[in-house]
Amino acid sequence: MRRLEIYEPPLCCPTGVCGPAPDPALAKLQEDILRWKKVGVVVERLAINQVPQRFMSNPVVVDLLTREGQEVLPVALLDGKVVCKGKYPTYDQVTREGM
Amino acid sequence: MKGIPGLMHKYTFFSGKGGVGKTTLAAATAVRTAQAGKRTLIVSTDPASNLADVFERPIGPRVTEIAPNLFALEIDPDTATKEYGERALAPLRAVLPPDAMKVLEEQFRSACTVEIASFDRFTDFLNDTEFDHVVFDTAPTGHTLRLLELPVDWSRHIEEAAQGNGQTCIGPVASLQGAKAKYDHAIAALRNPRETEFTLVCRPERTSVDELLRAREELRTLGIGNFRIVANGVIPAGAGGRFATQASSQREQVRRLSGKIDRPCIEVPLQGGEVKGLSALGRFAAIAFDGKNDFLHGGFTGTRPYTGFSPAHELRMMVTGATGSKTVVLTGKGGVGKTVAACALAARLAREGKRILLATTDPAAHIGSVLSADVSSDARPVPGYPGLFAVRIDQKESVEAYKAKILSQAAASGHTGEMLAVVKEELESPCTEEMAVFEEFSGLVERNDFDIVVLDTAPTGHTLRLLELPYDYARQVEMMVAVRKDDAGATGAKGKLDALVRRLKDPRATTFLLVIYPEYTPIFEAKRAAEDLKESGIEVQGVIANFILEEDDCTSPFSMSRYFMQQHYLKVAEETFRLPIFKVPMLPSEPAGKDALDRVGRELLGMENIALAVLETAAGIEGGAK
Repeated sequence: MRRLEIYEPPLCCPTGVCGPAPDPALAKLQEDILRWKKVGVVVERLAINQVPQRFMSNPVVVDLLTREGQEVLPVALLDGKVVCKGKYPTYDQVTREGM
Repeated sequence: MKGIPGLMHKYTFFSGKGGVGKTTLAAATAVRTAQAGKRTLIVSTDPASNLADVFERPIGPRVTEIAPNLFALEIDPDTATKEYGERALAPLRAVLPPDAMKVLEEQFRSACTVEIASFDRFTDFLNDTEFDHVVFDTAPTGHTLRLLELPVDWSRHIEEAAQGNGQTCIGPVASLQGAKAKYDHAIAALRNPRETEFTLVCRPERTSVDELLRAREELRTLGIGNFRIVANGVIPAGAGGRFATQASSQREQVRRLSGKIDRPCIEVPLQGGEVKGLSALGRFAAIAFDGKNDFLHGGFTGTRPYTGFSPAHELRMMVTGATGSKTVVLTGKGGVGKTVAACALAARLAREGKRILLATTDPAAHIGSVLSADVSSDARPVPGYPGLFAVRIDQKESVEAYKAKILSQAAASGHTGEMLAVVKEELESPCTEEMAVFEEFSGLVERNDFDIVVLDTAPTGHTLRLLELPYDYARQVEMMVAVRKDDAGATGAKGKLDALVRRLKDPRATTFLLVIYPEYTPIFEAKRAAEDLKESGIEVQGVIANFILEEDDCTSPFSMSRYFMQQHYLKVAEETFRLPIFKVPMLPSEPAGKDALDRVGRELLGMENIALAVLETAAGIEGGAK
């Protein structure tokens, strides 16, 4: 089973609907998550304000944050390997990585 | 009030409408149990806490020892948010450069974090192991019911999210088991009658009794059922003058209340002055809890009568404005008479031919009972008052409307059934409520189909929070605009929020009035509110002083003591605010019905024809100057 971890900037709601301007990018991501789940990818969303310890315990993420600052978020790791940074991964991007 | 509350229970809550004396009774209880040898903590959950005023010393967001065995703390939303955020931020400081940390800190001040942080802090004290007795002095009813609902709502939301998407606004479900356990423990403590007692406090007045009974029902639906009922501020026999009529209507209300509760209602007499400081609190505890025959005097005998009131036509000019539609916001401590003043202003202006919308943002609104009309969440004409419309923001209805709107938008943008289910689950988050209420509020301020919108607000703490939201959201959206460059949604939201903020700041479009009665706590709570508003760029324009006694009311030592106290505090109000002060006399009975409201309206606004002439002159001068 493949594992996709998405390290995100501070978030309130996962799709932003409880904030003043829901983010279409988050809605798009949510749709892709539903599709990934169907093809057996385990997806974990990790917002820096909610689970900072997970950021700290991942050397790849710590390294990216130290070098590029928090603008590097969101970062997506597929089985520990960076598939995209600075924006959310798309369905195709992840499936291209040898699904 | 036989038996000291808190000697039997670990947690004692004091709850009720604003201004009924929750803080005084809570503080007296804490003083008493501390003296009885119990290690006691008194916690204020009101963002506009008066604990410092009552104990006459600064308290703040840290546990502070104020007497042997007696500790106090005020939950401050800003500090709570900072500390809540710091738990997440601290480990990141080791890695991230300071400027990146700054951006993160800013993002931690999002609107819903503030509510979560305050409530999370509150549940800490329901999991207490350090004290024998914890007294909660709560915010006025509406705000407090929300606070007590939150542990239930969050616990349920976390549980439901675990079945569904596994994500909540406060993090992935997997990381929230500790928080859920804490909330569940808090709920269990609140519901356990051996652990927790709720003292519901009212004034022996119709609206206050009604609110107590409603609050009791709502608390019961949360599974809370151990109540002690107190009628505070009972006018002593022989008070004379206007107090005599009031005293008889009070007796009627106490009878009505007693008929609806299964235990005797505890009556606490009104004092001649304010109850402030440890020694006065001790004496008051003896009067309230042991039925001791004692009386606290005001101590301002001989103060010169206050003569600095501003003429009514000045207020008329402020609220009618020059051109275009206008919003008038009345704010102040609970119990100062905001609602009656708002109803009277609105009714009077409508009678003079203006199209008026009277709106309330108070979750425990009672404009309906003052106007004897059903007030719902859509603006409807008030029967018997041509030209007057009324509306109230209903939290639950706002949330339903907001959910429906978001879901239909999601469906319109082509989302699938499964995706809609995710959005729906997320909309169940307790965070949604604050956003939904804000939407309704901004809708009201933006209305231009009325000449004047009169806003009766919830007591200070709740209102300041609501008025902070446009700023919080604007900041949040600003960041979104920076990140999501071609997102029309965020840009549009930013434009709307900026326009709302501009409108609130413009004294020609919005008039902010403070409502007080001349005593220490209402004045200083209003002063802090004015300072907060000023920080947001909002200038308060005037002060309405309510329940004013006249010299000829002084027919007994009791009424004399209160009269002189008022004269003293009117002077204090003048020096504190440096704003026009408008007078509303104390009425012999609770103002309800058209005639009584009209009388208050005339006191506030004066007669139209005189004012018209003045208005025209003023407009001429203004026009000439341009």
